[in-house]
Amino acid sequence: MKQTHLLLLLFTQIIFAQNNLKDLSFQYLTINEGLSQNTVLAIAQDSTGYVWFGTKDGLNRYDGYLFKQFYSDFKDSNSLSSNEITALDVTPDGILWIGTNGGLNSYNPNNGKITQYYHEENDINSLSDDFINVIKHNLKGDLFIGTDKGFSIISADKKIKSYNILGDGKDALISAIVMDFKGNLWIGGTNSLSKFDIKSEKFTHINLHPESISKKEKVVVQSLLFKNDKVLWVGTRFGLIEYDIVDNKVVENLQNKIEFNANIREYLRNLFKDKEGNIWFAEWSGLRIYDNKNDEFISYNSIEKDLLNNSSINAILEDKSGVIWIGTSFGGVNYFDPTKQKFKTINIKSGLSNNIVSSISEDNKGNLYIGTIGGGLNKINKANNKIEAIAEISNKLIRVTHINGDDLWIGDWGNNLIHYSLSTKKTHSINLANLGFNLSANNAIKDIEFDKDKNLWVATSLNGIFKFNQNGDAENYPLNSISQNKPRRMREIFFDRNNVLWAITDKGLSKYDKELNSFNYIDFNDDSCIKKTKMISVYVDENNIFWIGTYGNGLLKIDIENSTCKNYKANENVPNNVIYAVLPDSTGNLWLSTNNGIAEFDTATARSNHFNIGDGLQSNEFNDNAFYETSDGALIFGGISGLNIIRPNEININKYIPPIVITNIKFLNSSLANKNYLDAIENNTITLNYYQTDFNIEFSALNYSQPRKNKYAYKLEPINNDWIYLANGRSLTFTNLKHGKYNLKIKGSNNDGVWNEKGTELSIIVLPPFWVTWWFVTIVFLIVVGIIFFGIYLKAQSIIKVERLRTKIASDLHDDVGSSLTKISMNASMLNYDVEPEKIKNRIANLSALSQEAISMMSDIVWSIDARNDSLQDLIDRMKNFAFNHVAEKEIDINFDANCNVNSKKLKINIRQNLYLIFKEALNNAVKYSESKRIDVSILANNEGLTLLLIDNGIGLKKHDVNKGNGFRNMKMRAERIKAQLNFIDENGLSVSLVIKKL
Amino acid sequence: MISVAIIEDIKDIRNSLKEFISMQSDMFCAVASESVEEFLEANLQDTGVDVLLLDIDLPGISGISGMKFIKEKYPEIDIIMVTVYEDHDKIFRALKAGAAGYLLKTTPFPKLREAILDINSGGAPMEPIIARKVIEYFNSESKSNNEKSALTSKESQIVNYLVDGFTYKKIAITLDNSIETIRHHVKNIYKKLQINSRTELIKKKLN
Repeated sequence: MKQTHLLLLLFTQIIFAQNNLKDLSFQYLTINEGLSQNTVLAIAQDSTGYVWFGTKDGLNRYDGYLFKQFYSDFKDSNSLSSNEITALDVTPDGILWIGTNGGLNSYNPNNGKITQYYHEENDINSLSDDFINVIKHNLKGDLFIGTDKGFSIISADKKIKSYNILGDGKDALISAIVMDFKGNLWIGGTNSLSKFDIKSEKFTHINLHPESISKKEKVVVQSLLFKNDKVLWVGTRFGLIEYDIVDNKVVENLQNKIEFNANIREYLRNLFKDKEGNIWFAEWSGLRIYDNKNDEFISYNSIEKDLLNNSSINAILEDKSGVIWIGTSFGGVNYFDPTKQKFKTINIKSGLSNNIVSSISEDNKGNLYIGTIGGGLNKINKANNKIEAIAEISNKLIRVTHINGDDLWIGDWGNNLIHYSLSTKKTHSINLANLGFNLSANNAIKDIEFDKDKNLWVATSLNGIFKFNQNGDAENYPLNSISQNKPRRMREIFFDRNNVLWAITDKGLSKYDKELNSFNYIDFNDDSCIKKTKMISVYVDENNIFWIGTYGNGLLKIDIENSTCKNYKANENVPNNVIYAVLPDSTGNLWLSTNNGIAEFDTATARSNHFNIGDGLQSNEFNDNAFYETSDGALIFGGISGLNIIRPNEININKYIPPIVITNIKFLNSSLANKNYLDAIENNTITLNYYQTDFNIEFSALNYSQPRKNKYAYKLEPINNDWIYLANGRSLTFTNLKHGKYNLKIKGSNNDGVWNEKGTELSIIVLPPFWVTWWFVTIVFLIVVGIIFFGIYLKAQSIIKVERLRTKIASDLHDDVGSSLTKISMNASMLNYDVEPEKIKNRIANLSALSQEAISMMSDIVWSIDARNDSLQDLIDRMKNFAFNHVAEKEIDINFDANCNVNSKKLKINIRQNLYLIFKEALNNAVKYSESKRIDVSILANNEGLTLLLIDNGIGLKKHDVNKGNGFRNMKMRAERIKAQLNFIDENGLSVSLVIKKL
Repeated sequence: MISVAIIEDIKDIRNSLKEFISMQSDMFCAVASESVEEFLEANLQDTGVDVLLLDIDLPGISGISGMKFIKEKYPEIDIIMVTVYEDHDKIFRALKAGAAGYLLKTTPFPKLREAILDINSGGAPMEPIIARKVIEYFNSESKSNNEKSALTSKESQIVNYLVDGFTYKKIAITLDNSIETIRHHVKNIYKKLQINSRTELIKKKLN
């Protein structure tokens, strides 16, 4: 039965939807929350979305959770010029300009760089003074700066020019600057008011004296604001003066309209216009708001809970989401969040007789009847919204109410059924115990319903269900007849979409069979859902699905036809497992009242939006049976501190999409640990070493309306492909990232679930350990290949060596030993033919000598091949041995002089062999033929070469010896083989010299 | 008459040596055995053995290890190692084991005779390579603090001259001693060598 009352709708719209300027409530940010100091002189919001607070001791950047503080540090050139922040402004290029009592600073948020500007004596291309009062800018990016001693312009290309307003050497203290629609500047201060033409650089003094102020008095201007293009509001210590800039005249002194406290000499520090056109006054003694629509002034100067915590106001800012920030002296920041108060509470303060709401009903005029526990029945008049107690109902403890036409039926805890006529206001009470049924006392009436046939059904907790027909005849269905499995309590009765009556007991659902006039318990296959749950109340949707709230088991969705049941529990889908009431809205979502606030449950996604006392609910705890859907679609839920009327379409949702920013990165175990994280980011990328991959990243959705309710999700590509939603917190820690390139995406939502789907991104590069880098692998690969090739080369070399050696041995054996054995063989054969004994004797001696020769040759060959005899020392030793064994007995004095510093040097086989044989030959010659008595052998060897000298003191050479003798020819041949120089010097004996250039 | 024994496994060489010894007027061949075992079995108590020509390369008990047993049986025997090639390592080992000297198998017979006579009369030949090995040996010995068996300074001197290729005659002239003295010193050097070697062996066995 939906009736539309247009007029009524309009009314309720005004009262229930919009924020009333007279009814603002504030929240606070003070030093308790982390603000550096409680006197806030300036507030600004930068292009990223951070809100900045300038205090008397430090600059603060607020991200919704924490304050980042900036101070002046004379040791750090990249710090502020002073700690007392007097003015803040943000230019279109994103730079934050910070005015202090000791200089002007610019801060670049991208790189954290701070530049300081100061006044230089006698330099008009520097600031007019170091005490900055006001900073304003135009769209080009030029800055207009009011200081204690005049006015300066910093053009967009950073050129500074200061101006002398008063013109006579004195400078004015400038407090306010505004720009009109033509681009002229209006400058207010101790100069009073001046108009400045930027192009011509000319000042025009404005006469600001309204009639009420004597011309002798100097009108010092403290604040300026254009009410509209034509009208300039001038804040002075005489009050607010309205000036028409087109007609060039003072309109009036608004002192009459506003109750300024003349004794205090009002200090109207600041004027601010919000999005609605309302003008906010920052005053010494409080906050004043000019309501643009109603053309009235509202003042806030009482200090109460939820109102201002301090009355001295310095600065006002409205941020991009609509939050109004107020900087006070000594009270920190007070702020008003327009979307915070989503729900209006009706309770004792509004006029209810009692806060504990137990039942709600509506008559056909739209009036609401509220039953309370301890305060009886209240009526809220639809016409005027006035709340009155219905005195006619003496009963103070109301359990249930039901309205049918003119009849209001009330049930209580003591078996009392009360009838109240809305028209006559007459009451009539029935006690069920007196009806003649066997009832137990202390029986609460749980539910009252009317069926299609106008029968009155009354459900009681212990005594079953009563049915009264139109004639007043009563029928009772005892509790144990309602359900076969021994129910102990009745909870509710309801009609489904087919007008079938159902009863909920503590054992489950029972269905009323009209034909049989009895109730039957309905058993479900699905045990988990039904049997152990304690159902409280039901909503039947258009598809006849029962949505049931339970005590402790969340929400149930029961399909009677198909006998299925689904359970939605807390933490996944609903805020609390105790669900008192389920009401639908026009979009198909279900609104649930719980012990933890109200949830808007989306049946399609099974996710819910939660609201709690912070959003304006009466409390987080609601009551069972205290719910009602009005004829015009309002959902009413009652609880322990009153009731809330919810219009889902009109809830003040915070629609602001918050920018997602990274507020800090902490590198753990790293050289970057103490650095400013901005330094680590380059081209939106951070680069980490493979051994320093631990870091913690903190982020924020810059939403200042209940930021604790912000939600976040992230994904680290390529590890995650889906978004991971964080249950709580706003930071992530990553450890042990493998080398590679990653993309970290973070998105967030504001307190009302409005997501910034784009979010923010950060690239992360983890450098590979050197053993993975391509160049290392390549080098190792090349080295390995090199080693393999070298191995092959060495093997080839050794094979070649072996080949050569075999060849050499073969040839030596063939040449030397072979020829010797041949000689022996021939001589032995010749022996057969020798006849003369003398010849035979000679031949035999010859054979003996040849045999010895062959043995000697073999011995030499074996020696030369044997690797153990490689060194020069071995060669010299053998030479000495030879001399000892063959020369000793001949009475020849032989001297060895081996002067070598490379005794251990390895000689090649052919050098060893040939050298030895040359020596042998030379020594033999000297011993056998030279008739010398003394032989000197000297060997001189070093890294460059070897020299062998064999000197005898014999008869020397006979001319034919050198060229003809076999021995000499052999020596020459051998010398050639090893490329040595062989010389014979015939002087007092024979000197044989052998020089080898390279060993 | 010098009693000469022969241990040589190659028949032709054995027989040649035996024949040559027998032809010498001042020598006779006590026994010509194929192996150390055969030699030890022979009963030579009547004749005794003065000089033994021992082949270094024998199958079965090798020449070097056999020397121990031989010296046990005939303590006064002078052993001359006979070798095909001049493997100085082996030769040195043989000297350490107790050989008095060595000869090449290919040594001409006159020289063979000379050597037998020399050694029988107490000679102790040491050629430069062997002398060097002796020096090296005693150097390493002194490092393992065996002072008793170190060479005397005279002995060291003599060995060093031998390394340089000096003849005994030359050393005698240089040191102003008789050749006999020099020879005597060299013999002592050999004794020390052998004693040390024995203790070495004992030490090794104990370990």
